[in-house]
Amino acid sequence: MVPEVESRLDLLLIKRILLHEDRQAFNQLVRRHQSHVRAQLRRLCRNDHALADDLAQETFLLAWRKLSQYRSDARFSTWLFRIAHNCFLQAYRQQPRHEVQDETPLDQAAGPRQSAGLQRDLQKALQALPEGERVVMLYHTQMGLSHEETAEITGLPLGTVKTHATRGSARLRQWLKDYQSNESTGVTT
Amino acid sequence: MSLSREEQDDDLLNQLLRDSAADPVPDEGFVDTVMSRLPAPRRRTNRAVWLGLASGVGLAAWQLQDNPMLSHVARDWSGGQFSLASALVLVLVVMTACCTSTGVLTK
Repeated sequence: MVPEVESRLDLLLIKRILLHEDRQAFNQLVRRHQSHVRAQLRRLCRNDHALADDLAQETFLLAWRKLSQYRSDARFSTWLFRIAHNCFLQAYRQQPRHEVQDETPLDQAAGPRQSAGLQRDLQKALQALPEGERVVMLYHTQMGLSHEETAEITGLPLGTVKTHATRGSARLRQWLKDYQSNESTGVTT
Repeated sequence: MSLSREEQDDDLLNQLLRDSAADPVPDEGFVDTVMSRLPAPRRRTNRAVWLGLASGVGLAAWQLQDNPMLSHVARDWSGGQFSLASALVLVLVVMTACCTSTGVLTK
């Protein structure tokens, strides 16, 4: 569906919820956005699906409570992603550091011959990026959001977002180069 | 014009990253769980009922203000007495208020 039509449909549903506390309309809204929000949180939570789904539920419950605060100058999905990101940050800060940090140096993140495919290895490499770069790469490159939207969601300054995006891309490009050269020489690690 | 190696790598990376993000997450009861966790619906107090009731009480008081019975009852209440007449007036006021408010609501 065309993004403008999507946005208008969201606004229509929001209006119905705010005017009549229409739960059916909220049901539609959750149905339309659950996949993206849960995918976003799964990546932020490094594929901990149970935690991601708990946070996604919190996200939608908060959205229900705070819907009147939504201003239609940003896309509804961006507003929702920001709530989800804040839920994630809250959970991240509450957990002991060792539970959420799975820091593998990027050069060791994915031995070319150790895992099934490039896609899986790339995910590992992505997880091994420094936190700021990983988050920006998730929103900007993976989810296709603009720098401005990424800044809006993460609360980072626009300049920082652009720097993280450039650095993250450079690191992954280097990783890919190493991967390809290892593939062609048949090096195993 | 052919793309540089760097641009090709960028394209490949972006493609791979977007492909990995494109997988939809199936609902698997998620929406129902969220809906079941929503707070119970607020009892929407009908403002019109309260407005009508207040108008009814006001109107009744206005209509009965010159009635000697009302001043008699007021004297009773101020003296701490609760006579049959005052109870009757109270019932009348409430009934008038209800009737008036119903009238206001049905208009």
